[in-house]
Amino acid sequence: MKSQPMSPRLWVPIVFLIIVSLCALFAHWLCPFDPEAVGAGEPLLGPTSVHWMGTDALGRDLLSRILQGARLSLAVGLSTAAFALILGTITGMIAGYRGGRTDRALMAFSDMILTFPSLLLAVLLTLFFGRGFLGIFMSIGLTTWVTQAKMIRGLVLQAREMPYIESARAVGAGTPRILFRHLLPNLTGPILVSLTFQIPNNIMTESFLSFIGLGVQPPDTSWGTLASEGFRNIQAYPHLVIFPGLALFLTMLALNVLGDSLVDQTTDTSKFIRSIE
Amino acid sequence: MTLYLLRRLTFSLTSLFALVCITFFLLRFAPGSPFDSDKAWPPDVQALIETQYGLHDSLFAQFGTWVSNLLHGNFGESFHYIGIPVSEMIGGAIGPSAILGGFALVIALFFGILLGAVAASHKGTFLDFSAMFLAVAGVTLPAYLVATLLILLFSTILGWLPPALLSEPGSYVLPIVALALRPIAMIARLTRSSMIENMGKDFVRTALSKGVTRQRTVWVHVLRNSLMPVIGLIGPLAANIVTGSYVVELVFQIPGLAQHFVSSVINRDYPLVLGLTLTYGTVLVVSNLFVDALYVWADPRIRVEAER
Repeated sequence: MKSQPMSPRLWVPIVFLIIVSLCALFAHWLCPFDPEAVGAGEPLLGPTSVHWMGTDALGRDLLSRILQGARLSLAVGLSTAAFALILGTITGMIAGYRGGRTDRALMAFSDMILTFPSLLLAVLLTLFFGRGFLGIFMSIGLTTWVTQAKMIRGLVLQAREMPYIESARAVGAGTPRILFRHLLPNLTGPILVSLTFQIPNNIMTESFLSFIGLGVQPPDTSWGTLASEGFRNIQAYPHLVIFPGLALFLTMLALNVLGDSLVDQTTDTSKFIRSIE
Repeated sequence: MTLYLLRRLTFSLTSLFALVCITFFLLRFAPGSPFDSDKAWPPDVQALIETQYGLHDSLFAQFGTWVSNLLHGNFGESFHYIGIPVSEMIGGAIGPSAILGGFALVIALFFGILLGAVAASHKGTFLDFSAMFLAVAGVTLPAYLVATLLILLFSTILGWLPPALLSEPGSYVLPIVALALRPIAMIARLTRSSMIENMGKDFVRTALSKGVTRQRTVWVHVLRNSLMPVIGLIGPLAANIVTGSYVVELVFQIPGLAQHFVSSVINRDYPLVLGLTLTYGTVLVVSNLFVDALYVWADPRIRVEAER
């Protein structure tokens, strides 16, 4: 099969996301100033040639703090998505494949979680797990895996009637083998697409929870905590909210555009997966 | 039809009860107590207060008391704002949230469907591209950034609208816009993809070959058939938007309901948390019921199914 050139709607977000991830990984070397250094410049400067994004109320360099904050924001987004992915895929596959009582129990449980006021549930979970990385990981992970499970279940319900599953059963393959060797590889495409929506949603939730003070706590930094610190001086110094917000927005935008382009190619998903391998 | 809606209502009420049960027990198993404060009380005083509020009874007895009070129309009194009935706190705060949320919901439905339909009927053109760019931006912009930019532009720079509080009619505009933006984007994306999917269906070809104009086919036949997923979104969306958005209420300094969703849990204000859960759940049940009725109206197949 001839490979065609990738459309810009695919490679632009991919390149951008790679750059953001590299910035986060190597934040230590890239930061022009120590992100924690109080008084690196005059407090509350607007953007200048030295401090490209200005400084915060304690004179800390905002660009450095945003680079530093990218680490936690991305880490939370990726780790919670991975958690939801693993838990959701396994339970979703079992429920969809087994059907019957297992299926009904899982669906009832996930409908239950989805009727909760999400904000209240998130705050409640931070009571159990504390504020900080663990608390935020749990309050995002435990509430999003059900969506993943529901989606996988729906896909499995369709797939289990397919001839290849029937033939696998006919030659005597056991349930785990059918699930993980035959079903799972066929779900890779949709799972990949769902990740491009799950990750930005989780990054957004993290920034929201941190913004209202329930997420990571100082001295840890994420884009949400930066915006939350800047919020105190919002009228006079809006750049303290705008720059962290923009960092978040651009990352979310890249992930969403990537996801949309993947969806447009769903019929060709397997081709795409091969082309990036 | 009535039977169908009744069946849905029974189901919703059961899940509402389950929701409140789970909240009650989750809350009680969470570490901390409502009367932990910075300055420690003498142990006997603390014990006396806790006895006064019935916290030493068994959990089931407490839950029973709460339910029986509820059935008599009594939501209990706040533990944190001592002596103030929960119903009064919620009643006082739900007004601003519901007004803003209601307007935002109507606006979001109108503009979201319009934007999505325009994009779908001009698929692949510049119009489609810009509409969808707006929609992606609406989904990905963090609420605090939207609110900040709105205040900056319309209050600080242009001076057209007040930046905060709900003192005059003009002050409703910015919070409503901030609230509506994300739902508009979600609805527009959903409408567009649903319409594009439907445009390939047989009924479109039939309509066109019967001589129905393209305009009418798209805006009447395709649009109505494409509204089902949008209708499905209304239930949870309404419950979320009407009970307030924490960020919007924080930024615009609106004394709404959303703040209580956070502070009540942190204060372990048990009666208030349960009251809020019940309020949210009730709004959800009512809007879901409304959605079910809309489904029946929009899709005759469900009507036939329901009458069986």
